[in-house]
Amino acid sequence: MPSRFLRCLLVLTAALLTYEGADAQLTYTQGQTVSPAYEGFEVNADGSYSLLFGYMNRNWSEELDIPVGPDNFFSPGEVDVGQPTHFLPRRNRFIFKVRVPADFGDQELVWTLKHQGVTKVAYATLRQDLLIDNMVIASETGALGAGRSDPETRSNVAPMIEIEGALELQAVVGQSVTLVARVTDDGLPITGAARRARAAAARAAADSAAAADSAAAGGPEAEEAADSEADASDAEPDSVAGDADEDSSDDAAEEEEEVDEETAAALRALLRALNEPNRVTVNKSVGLHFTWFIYRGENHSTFAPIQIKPWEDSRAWMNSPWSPFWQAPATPEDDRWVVQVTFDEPGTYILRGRADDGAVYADKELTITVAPKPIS
Amino acid sequence: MTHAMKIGLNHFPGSAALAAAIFALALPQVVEAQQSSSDEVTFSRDIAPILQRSCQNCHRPAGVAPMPLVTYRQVRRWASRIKEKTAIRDRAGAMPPWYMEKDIGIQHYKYDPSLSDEELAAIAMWADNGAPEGDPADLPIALVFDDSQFWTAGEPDLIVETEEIFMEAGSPDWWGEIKSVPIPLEEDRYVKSVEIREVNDIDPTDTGRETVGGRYIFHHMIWSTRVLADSEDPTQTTFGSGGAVGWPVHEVGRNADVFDPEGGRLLRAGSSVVSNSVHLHSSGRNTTSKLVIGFRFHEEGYEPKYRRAAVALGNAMDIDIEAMEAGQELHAYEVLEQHTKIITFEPHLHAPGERMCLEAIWGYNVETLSCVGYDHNWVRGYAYEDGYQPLLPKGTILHIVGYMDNTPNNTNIPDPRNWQGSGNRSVANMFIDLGMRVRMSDEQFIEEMAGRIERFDLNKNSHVIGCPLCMHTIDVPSPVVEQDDVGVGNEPGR
Repeated sequence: MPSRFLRCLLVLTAALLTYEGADAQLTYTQGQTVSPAYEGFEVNADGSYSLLFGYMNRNWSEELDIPVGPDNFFSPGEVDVGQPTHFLPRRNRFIFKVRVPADFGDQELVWTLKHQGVTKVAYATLRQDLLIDNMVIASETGALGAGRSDPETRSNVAPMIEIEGALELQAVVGQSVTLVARVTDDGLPITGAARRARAAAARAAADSAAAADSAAAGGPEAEEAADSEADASDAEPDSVAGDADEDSSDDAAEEEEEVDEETAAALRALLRALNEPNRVTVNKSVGLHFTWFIYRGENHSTFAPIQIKPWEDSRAWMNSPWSPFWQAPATPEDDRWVVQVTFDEPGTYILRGRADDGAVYADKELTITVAPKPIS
Repeated sequence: MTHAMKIGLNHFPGSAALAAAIFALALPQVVEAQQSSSDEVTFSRDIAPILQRSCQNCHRPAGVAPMPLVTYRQVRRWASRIKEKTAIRDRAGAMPPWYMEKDIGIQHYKYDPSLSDEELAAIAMWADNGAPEGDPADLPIALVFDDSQFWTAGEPDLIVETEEIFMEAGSPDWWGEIKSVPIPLEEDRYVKSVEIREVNDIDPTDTGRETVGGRYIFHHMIWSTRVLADSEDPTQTTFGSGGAVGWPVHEVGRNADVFDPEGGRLLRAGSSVVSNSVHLHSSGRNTTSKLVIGFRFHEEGYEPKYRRAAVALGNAMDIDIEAMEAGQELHAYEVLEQHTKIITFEPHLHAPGERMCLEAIWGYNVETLSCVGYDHNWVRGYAYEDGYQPLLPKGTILHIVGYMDNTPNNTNIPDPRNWQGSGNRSVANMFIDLGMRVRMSDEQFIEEMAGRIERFDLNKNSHVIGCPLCMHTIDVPSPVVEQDDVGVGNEPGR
């Protein structure tokens, strides 16, 4: 904790600063700033620590590029500790980590970002409140909803990535490069749909057992009658309804009139779309997925297929695990995620591949140097 | 996380989890007693009754507060501190920990321990005048302290306890299940209030945190009760199953939840307390803790008139809190799809939270229903007094405004120099109204409004905060401005 003197100093500093976040909830597409975020620290097996960082780009569309240097640096020590120079929109958590020694103590590591003349700083320390582990990561990214877990959930380990081929590639502008990542995972956490199916099976088994008991005892089977008075909201705690995954909501379609299958499907999709998104806590649809994104270098890339957004796009029906109604794609049968990427500008690009099971993740990077297209 | 051996309540003398007051570690100021004159404020006549009503529930022998405030000898050394803490009124650090702002919105709440302006002035004057004792003959009859003071909303009819949990000092935040707790209830009963108290072995005078969470490790429990079949795993079926009844979320340092008198909640015979969403936050010391849950029942034969309404007011997805700034606003909205009576307002923020307001938007009318300060060590639910609960027509938009203080003035946060976003950790950010509501049919809605008009003898010039249609039901002949006549420059009042 800061000393009393430091706290007083900070109070004075705060008073002198002008507030620039009054429009924080307007959804700007571009022109806004980016703040580095200190997410917390992990304790490594050898006693050293890893300081985890992310960022908040306030733009909903604009991707920012801030090269390492006077506008993007760490201090004290090495200015380049592997931080990103390409900043995707909005919140990006747990993007990179910096290892510090076991005797780091009360020191701090500082990440400074300057953009549009505005300086934003993150201070990494070992303060007690900021200790994190895989469970905290799973929680903070939204995999636990409002904070639900069980032993199975907690046994989850991060996926593993194996990049096929070299990690440094050459290409020319317009040339398609094939990237193959083999991703394996333990299948945890289970998706919302799988969880509901499991719960339904358990209930059915319990009901069946209860009915058998009742029949054996010669008693009535009326114990569930009272339940029929209750509606779904009665089972939810106050105010956290809607916290669960919304990836199945076809019930209303059962009331539709008979129509052809195509129309019925369209109606079901519409009914599903009309469920207004509701997430009062951080929430993410879980399920294994793998995605490539630009980590360093301006974004002059085109991926095929289009990549899942690794950032928190919380708008409904977006291609992001944080988007209401998003569902993880089917895992390739051979666990090989094959992607084509092309660049329309020469340069050196560092790509980050992230395998994310919805709770914890693994990253791999590769570098592609793109030369100008030869003049024919 | 491990489950420790079960220990009874009486194994924690001095640390029962009442909503205690923490007077910070300032050196006590010893004040000499003075002789009193008839018009001066004295301990015996003026201050002791205030302490009995609003402080001694926690500040008593074997209470959870760091010091008892019962006898003159106990109180006088804290006179300046009492003046200082009570004068904070409605912000973090205030005592008693009740943060309702008194100059805005509805002012009638159940179990409101807050002090009036006159009482605050009396305390200040008493402290400034040297904390005179006065005539001991003026003292009110001393309160008898027993286990009933453990409960702020009345002694429960049924008490159950969760299994004890041990949390190691300095461990990271944790979320998960508790072992289900069978409820010894042989017939269905409707519950009028439920109160959950954390009982732990934390020394209130020596907690291990300088930031949020020094007194309690249970920072939330999302829970339900349900009848479990032998084969069921309760950690997988907390909600959404047949017969499950959800209950208000327990939060750190919470007070009681009082249901609408006509909206009691069903506790089924043979059910169990189940939860797979307990959030634990280290107190900074090795801590053994459990939750004690007290249910108060309606009379047998009671049937509720109202059904609970779903609540989904909040947004913790896109939180953006700058470093070193106070008063940063967050906003969330919800459209009411049914006529609704709001039973409680319950701001849920986290460490950076300093205030939340609740507004009702009906057409172009925007009215503030409640504004409260916030301290994430003492999360409060504010139950509107019967007859004062907002009655809102369907179509009303509820709007909450959260105010975040990410500066060194907020001692709950670890480092105000850092930007903050959303998250479940106690030092990250949530933004929710966890209050309770009941839904109403057209007939019930009209009936409630008519009852309110009769009870308060309202007339056509009355205004009821939070009841935009109340006056609609008053049948008093008066000039009527037809909607078609209202246009620019023709509005009533111009």
